[in-house]
Amino acid sequence: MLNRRDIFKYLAGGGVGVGTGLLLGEVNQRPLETLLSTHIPPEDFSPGMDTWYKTLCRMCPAGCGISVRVREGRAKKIEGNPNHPVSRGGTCALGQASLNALYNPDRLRSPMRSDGEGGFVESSWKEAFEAIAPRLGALQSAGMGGRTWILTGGFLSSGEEALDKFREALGANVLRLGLDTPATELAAAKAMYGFSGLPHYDIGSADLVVSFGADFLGAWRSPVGYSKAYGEFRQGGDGHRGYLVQVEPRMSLTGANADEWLPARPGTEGALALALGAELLGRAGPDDEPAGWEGLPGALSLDEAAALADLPAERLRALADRLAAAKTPLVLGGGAVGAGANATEALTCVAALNRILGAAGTTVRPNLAHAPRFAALSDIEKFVAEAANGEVSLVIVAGVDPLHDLPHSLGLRGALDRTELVVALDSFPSDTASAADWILATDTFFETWDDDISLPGNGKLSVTLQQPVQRRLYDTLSVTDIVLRLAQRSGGALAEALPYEDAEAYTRSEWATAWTNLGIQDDFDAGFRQVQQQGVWVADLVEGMADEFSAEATVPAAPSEAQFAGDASEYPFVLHPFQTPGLREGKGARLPWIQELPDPQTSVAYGSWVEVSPATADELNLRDGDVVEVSSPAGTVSAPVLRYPGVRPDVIAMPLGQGHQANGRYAQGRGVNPASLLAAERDGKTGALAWAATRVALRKTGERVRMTKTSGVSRTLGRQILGPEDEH
Amino acid sequence: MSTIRDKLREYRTAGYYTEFEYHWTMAVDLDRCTGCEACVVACQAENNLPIVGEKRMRQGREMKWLRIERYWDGDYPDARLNFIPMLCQHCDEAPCEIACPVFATYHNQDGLNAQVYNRCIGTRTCAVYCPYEVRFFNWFTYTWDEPLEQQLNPDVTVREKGVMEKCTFCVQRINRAKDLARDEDRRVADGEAQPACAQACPTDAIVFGDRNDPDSAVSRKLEDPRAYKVLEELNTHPSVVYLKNAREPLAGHEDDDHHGEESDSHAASPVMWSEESSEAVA
Ligand code: SF4
Ligand code: SF4
Ligand code: SF4
Repeated sequence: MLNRRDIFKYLAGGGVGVGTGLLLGEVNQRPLETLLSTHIPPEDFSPGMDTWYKTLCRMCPAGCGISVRVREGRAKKIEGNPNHPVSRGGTCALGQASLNALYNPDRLRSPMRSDGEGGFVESSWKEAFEAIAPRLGALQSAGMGGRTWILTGGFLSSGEEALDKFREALGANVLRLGLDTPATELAAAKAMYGFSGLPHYDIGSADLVVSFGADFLGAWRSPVGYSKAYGEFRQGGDGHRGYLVQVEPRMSLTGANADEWLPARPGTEGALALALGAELLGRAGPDDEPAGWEGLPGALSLDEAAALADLPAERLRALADRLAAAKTPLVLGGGAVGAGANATEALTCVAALNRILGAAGTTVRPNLAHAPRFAALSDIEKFVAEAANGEVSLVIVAGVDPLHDLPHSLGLRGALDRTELVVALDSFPSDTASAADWILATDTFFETWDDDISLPGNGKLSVTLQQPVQRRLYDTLSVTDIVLRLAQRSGGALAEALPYEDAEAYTRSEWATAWTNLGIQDDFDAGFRQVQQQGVWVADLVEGMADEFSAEATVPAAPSEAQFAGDASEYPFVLHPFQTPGLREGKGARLPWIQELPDPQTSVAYGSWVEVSPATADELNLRDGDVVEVSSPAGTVSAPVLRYPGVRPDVIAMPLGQGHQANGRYAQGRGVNPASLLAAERDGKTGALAWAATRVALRKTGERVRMTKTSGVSRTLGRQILGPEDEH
Repeated sequence: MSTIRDKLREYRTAGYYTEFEYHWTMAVDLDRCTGCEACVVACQAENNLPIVGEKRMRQGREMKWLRIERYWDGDYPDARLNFIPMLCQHCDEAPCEIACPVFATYHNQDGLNAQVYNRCIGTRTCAVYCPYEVRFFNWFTYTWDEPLEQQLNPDVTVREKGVMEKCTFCVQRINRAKDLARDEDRRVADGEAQPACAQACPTDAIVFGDRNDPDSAVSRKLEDPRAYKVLEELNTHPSVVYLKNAREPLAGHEDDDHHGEESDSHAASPVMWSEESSEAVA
């Protein structure tokens, strides 16, 4: 598999058809609006004058380009960057609120040292490096780099690359962590399309989208990019209006916008997709053999699938009709469907449906042949076991919060406790950082250099530049700065691998190397300045860099029956954890604008809730605000009930992202964390964490609370607020 | 004897504005809008809306000039959720303007319903008269936890206790565009003045512009057969036009009058704050 270094290097051999012209000429997908000045004055402080800096949003892995309004040296407002091929001038609620991270009163202002009793004392960079570098150097010279583990995320950035060079030079281990990683989607794309990276879904040019659990308008993968496409899908101007079908047990934001919402029984989605595929194959004429398959052994009939999924059979037949009639159909899967015990099998069936529909190559497009390798459950277990044996000397946590985001049943807290030295690189006293020996206070993304590769799916490679938009507010350094300094002070292979002064020098050097390899001989400084003004650099994906569809694929197997932790008699409900567009896995909770933003579907703010179907709530005599105890084989939490009309009666849904033990005043102690309910289940094929495979029980506590909820009347009561009624 | 209403008409027409210099109008396409609330946060950021805190929010003191309203149709499994962004409609026959005893809220030369903060004496009459429930009263002087105040937009007044506030169509941005156009001796070009919500919206659901210009993007939206105005029957003549969501109505569930969840069935205004919730127990 290509790694990120190769991507830049690869350009060396295949620089055909690309040149400096690609810097600017091809970046705009739509005419550049002249709203925003791209003029950058020599200094960032001109009283009364706005300056706009193009940079990168780092609140989620989507990597949208943004434009930041700076006035008197202070960032004031985030806008989208119209030049950016993914976000195309849009932003999401979380991106809009990201300034709350920069100016957060509880941000760390200097390195912090644990006082050994759960508290932290202010320290200095000198002290921090003097404490950490010698131990790192000792591990390196003793050839015991393998006793170091690096816990990080999955960005395709120069910063991650520096961390990886560091890991390589030291011989350390890495865990790329996240709750909703694309591990199962990658495996399915490999099996069905022959890809090494993620496919791009061209929602904008589809006339029918069937999404199995992927909340692409809310919190899945690239919400802004997909929302832009959705606008075109609905009212693109050429008169066609796309039709959206959402299959999921709990109505997500995407489900709320769908033309049809099909609440299939959790874990049956793959069988459903396969049954639809078999039906379409059966309907195909004798001459066309979609996908080269004659039939799908093990596929259920539509009636059988309907019974399994607990859906009306005529709805499935109507869906098959729609799929057969659609000109540019697209199916996609994700969310909880990608996080069950049969997730890869299910997503493979979904991808197979695309092959049968002829969507592979039209609405499903290849992208960069690369994706980070995310930690499987077995990797995490290996780390936990080594820590338990006292074999872990050093853990470096870079900007992720696994103690909050990942199932508590994994035992990561215990593993960190057993580690000799835990160093967290974070801007906040996150749950994980609070368990460290040192917290090295990092910049927010507004204060330092980096970049990120994003996947516009148009045959291009797009690299978004992250640049400081204002001076550092406090005594902080970026993750890259810290990694470089630690490497320099440790000497040896580490120092040799990373001979750079700071993040700026390193980032520029990465770009300069790439351009030299590309044969771009022009003045680097001038070219780089242009990228700073545009915010993004777009190049053609040359041969070998992009994925290609395999000519054939093996016939997909029928998915195995979904398994859930917990016995159905003791735990009658399937737990459906979901991300809200603002909170996501937890990063939004520190931001007061996000805490104060009513959840789109429920209007709840500032807390957690337990979604129960009105039918189930009636049965259990539960009203809104009744506190229930939700318990699973892994743990118990208590939160108020919200009667939600869009959830299956046998499913309990809970938002992720709250319930922080630390993380500043806006997050700490607010709501509950469903991650503490999740059992350590895994996807059978990849061993990836299956975070939607736990059953729970409900118990009414008798306590009642008043939820913070803004919406009152939830029916229009004949007021025609949503438009004049049609004649029936 | 002339009534206040007659006086107001006089003020609104003779010698004042027989027509608007620009007629700023917003079109919101509900078929594009997903309810994602990017616009809601963008508005909060642009207009220095306070962070009221959990306690105040629970009391119904939320300050959001733009909010997403949600309406359910049908019941499980045929439940459906509909979203509609709600903000000041900049009514050309604004009931709020008639009500204000000190003319703190008035119509400006561009058809904007404007609020003069230092004239407002806080009677809150306008909020009672507004059928769209989009006016927000400052019951307190809100502050920002340091250094969050460094984010405040220098172009927008920070309001204090005792005044009413609401959506301005981002008048500071409109004025900036007009200043620039005036310097260059031209009219503001279509798309040049964009409120924060429209600029943030990731589905391009919000189109803003001058209705006086028949070729503007917003004027074209007004021609759309899906265009309608909320509570049009009240003759408020809103400057916000919605384009109806084009989803097929749910079979057997025309905009139903039956009550929703027990906690949600307590009143009949477009928005109701949980403060009044009868089942509220602390
Ligand atoms: S989707 Fe939102 S949070 Fe993620 S990168 Fe884009 S703007 Fe930032
Ligand atoms: S940002 Fe756009 S799509 Fe999102 S809620 Fe607002 S108007 Fe709707
Ligand atoms: S919507 Fe309400 S506040 Fe706005 S102009 Fe109309 S009546 Fe006044």
